[in-house]
Amino acid sequence: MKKWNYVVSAVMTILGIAMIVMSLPFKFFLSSGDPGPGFWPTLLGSALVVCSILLAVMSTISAAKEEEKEVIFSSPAHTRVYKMMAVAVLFCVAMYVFGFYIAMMIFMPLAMKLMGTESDKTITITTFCTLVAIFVAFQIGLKTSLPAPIFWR
Amino acid sequence: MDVIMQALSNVFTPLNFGGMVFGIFMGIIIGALPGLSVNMGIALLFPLTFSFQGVGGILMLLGIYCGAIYGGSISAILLNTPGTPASAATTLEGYPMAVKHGQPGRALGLSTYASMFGGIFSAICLMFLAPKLANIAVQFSKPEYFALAVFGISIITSVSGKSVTKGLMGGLIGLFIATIGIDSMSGKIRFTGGSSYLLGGLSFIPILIGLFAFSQVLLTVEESFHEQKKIEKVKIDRVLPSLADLKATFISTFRSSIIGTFIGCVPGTGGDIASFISYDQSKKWSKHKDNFGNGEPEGLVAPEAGKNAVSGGALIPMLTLGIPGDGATAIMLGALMVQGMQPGPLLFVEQAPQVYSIFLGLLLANIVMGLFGFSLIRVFTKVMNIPKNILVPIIFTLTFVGAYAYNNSVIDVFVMVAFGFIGYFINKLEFSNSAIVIGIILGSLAETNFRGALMMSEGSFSIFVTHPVCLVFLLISAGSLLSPIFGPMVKKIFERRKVA
Amino acid sequence: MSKKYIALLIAVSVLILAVYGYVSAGSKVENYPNDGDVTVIIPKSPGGGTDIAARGLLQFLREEIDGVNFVATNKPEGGGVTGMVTTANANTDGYTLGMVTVELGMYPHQDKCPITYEEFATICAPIASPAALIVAADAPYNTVDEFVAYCNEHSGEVQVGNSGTGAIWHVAAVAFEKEFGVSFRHVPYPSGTSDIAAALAGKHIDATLADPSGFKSQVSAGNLKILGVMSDTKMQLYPDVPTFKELGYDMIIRAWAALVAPKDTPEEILHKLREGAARLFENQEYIDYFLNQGIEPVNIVGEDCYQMMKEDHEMYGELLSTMDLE
Repeated sequence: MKKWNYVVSAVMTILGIAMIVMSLPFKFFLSSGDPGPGFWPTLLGSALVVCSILLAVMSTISAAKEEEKEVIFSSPAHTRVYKMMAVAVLFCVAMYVFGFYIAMMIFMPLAMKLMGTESDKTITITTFCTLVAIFVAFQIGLKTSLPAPIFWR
Repeated sequence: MDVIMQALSNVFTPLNFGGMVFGIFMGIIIGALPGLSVNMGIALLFPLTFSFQGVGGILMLLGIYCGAIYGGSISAILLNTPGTPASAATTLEGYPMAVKHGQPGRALGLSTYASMFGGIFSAICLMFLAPKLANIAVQFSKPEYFALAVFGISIITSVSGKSVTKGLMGGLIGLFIATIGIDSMSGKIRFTGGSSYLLGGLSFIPILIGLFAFSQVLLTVEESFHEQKKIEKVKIDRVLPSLADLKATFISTFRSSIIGTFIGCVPGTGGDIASFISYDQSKKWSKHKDNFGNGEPEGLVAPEAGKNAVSGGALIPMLTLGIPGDGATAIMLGALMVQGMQPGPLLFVEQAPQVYSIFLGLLLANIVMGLFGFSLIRVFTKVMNIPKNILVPIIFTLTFVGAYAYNNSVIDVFVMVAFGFIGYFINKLEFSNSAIVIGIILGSLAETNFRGALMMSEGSFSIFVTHPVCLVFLLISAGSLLSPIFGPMVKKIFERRKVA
Repeated sequence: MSKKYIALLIAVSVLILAVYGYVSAGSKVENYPNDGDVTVIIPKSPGGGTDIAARGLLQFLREEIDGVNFVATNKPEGGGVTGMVTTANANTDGYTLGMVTVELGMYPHQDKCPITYEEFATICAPIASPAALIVAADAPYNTVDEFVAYCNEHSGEVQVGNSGTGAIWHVAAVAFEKEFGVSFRHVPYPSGTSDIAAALAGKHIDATLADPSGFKSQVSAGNLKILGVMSDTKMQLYPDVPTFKELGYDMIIRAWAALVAPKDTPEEILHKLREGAARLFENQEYIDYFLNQGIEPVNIVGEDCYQMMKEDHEMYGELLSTMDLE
């Protein structure tokens, strides 16, 4: 965890400085003396930088305690998560291009396969049941239409 | 007496009562599904109220209101996914109790009990204390709102879990996210990079769904990797809370109900703020502080009672002053006026039967909601028994639908997924979702009221000190923010003195 | 995935596409509006003033036009801009309509919106709430002129609430300053007029120039009073309140919301809709729906509505260019 704390600290410091920089075009104080649009975000950015420095310092002080906490980001379990993330991203793209329902019919089975479902029957039944349930609840019940394929818009 | 009899006959007509029950049922479903908001449900069913005579339509809307605030906790407890923002704090204790300790029935039972308690308590306050409490609502001006926001932000230290510093960082990021878009105090556009989507700011609900629901999906994908195929069926333990539980949590529930009613009274604040403040206070005064985050019953009943108590509280300024306490009551105000009822001091005099019908309706709605809840707990917990390989993809799909349905926006879905990824990683690094959410919720409340207060005082900071309520809240917040840092230090000093 | 599943997937996809195709291809102008649901995009959150007005309008309009089924959709993202842009870019077959609000006349001048009223064909405007000067009931001034005199004595001290800097009620207040040569302290309440009502009732501010519907309860209860209203004609709800015009000051500022269709929608379709809208005022229930909420309904149909949008666009252009939003 100690290593990651330093990473977090570095990232947050950069974020904090970015916030301050982005707020520069906005006035800190208006001519009337009231705080302007730049006031608050600059404050937040500065506080973030302070906190991240604090984090780095505290990590160094209690180094031993922090070393004990394990943080793993690579293992077979994690690989599955990253695959699922890829599925999610592709789902987003597919939803935008092919519309929600078609995208769902592709990616829900993909997700189920990834989770270890072996029976095709289970996959098909679950996908169609969910599809019908969503259609009834949202399209008919709430009258919210889900994204349509790109060629229909 | 006569008036009460009339009110009773109003409420118990088949159409009105049926409408209310229908409303509660729809409300629970809308509340449980992330992405469907209370306001959306009420706005959708608002035209139906035209077909009702008099208060009947309002009763149905009250049903949705109470049901939805309660329903959000069901998915919060079972799936670590708040169905409404008000249930975000419920995940802190509800989910560990349900999953880590394998007691979903107990968690849902306590949640239902506390929600009912909070709702009924606020209904009673509404009935007997409405005019007095309404005065409080009117006393709140910008310095008080600012102080309340700061107090809310100080709660980050309570919900930060293992690392307060990281919690603060998350909170600061949340506060920053709230600044994106049109700055309504100056009219300037901040941090949108020219995008028209960001003109209205980053939508809150997709971020909530992403941070909580989607990151939980990813976490479950990881954790279930090593699970055996055969899962033990989760035993349904008791549904009704045990006497021991009731005794242990009573003070927490009662205190939270007071907090929730009060927050409901203050226009512009709602269940989300009430639930976090109730949680925080419950933790501060609890003898079992260390068990918080681990399925502590006191920490579960607190946000539940707090958020449902907002329902009665929000009706107080709505009925007495015609000023809505939150977004949902704003719609109900419209529904009331369409039926020819004019909220204000005159309402209580000229249309007493209608007003009492509303009081009675709220009371009844909470009771029926509780009954619904208890009877359906066994059904809800069956959700836990669905094999993960089926449940996870379904929730995955529902998060997409929910994120889209909220604003009919595809970009919201992308935002949801992005925050889901972010949530997954930062949770591993000891960050707290709730801290970020608190920042987003309170960001504009804090900033606009800070600047607004200074606008009113012509730049003089003394306004924060001369308003007593404001000063008190600010001092409590300072204490809250500094205690995790200075508390241990002070303790150490005392211990050294003892040894010496 | 097995071959069988893929085949099934393709079959169902084709089916879905076919259904979509059938539904959208077959609509003819003469059949309007029987060929499907008419989506109406509301660029505000559910439950807000515009949303409630729009839903009410659609509810009653449904009765005036045979066979129509309106489906209201909320699209509040981007401060309402995205919703309005979506309506402008929609299919011109008449099955997608939208609401636009007075921000359409203001935002283009503030670089917040890429389109103007010219992108739309108007159907009708159900509401055009005027700015009203609202003050506490026990304030030491009872007319607009007395208020102006008070402002001159306490220059820069009178606190006037608005719904956000650069938003319409702030613009109204600045227009007032210009017209009368006074100077206010503007206090924004970005969450909406109900916050302003609470602030006025609690005496945290002195006055506001805003749409009177959010203040109806307070006025009826005798806590607040309306000194003047910036509309063409007197308000039905407050017949004793003079208009600024009759007091000699030509000021008309109103927050309207209008039902519109994309620019090139066929005339026959627009005609059907406008005809239906024109009949709305014959329905007393429709009028009562708004009056009960403290909103004075208007029925500005077709060309008149377009004119109103055009006039306001030009007026705001002038006003905003002279305003110095720092």
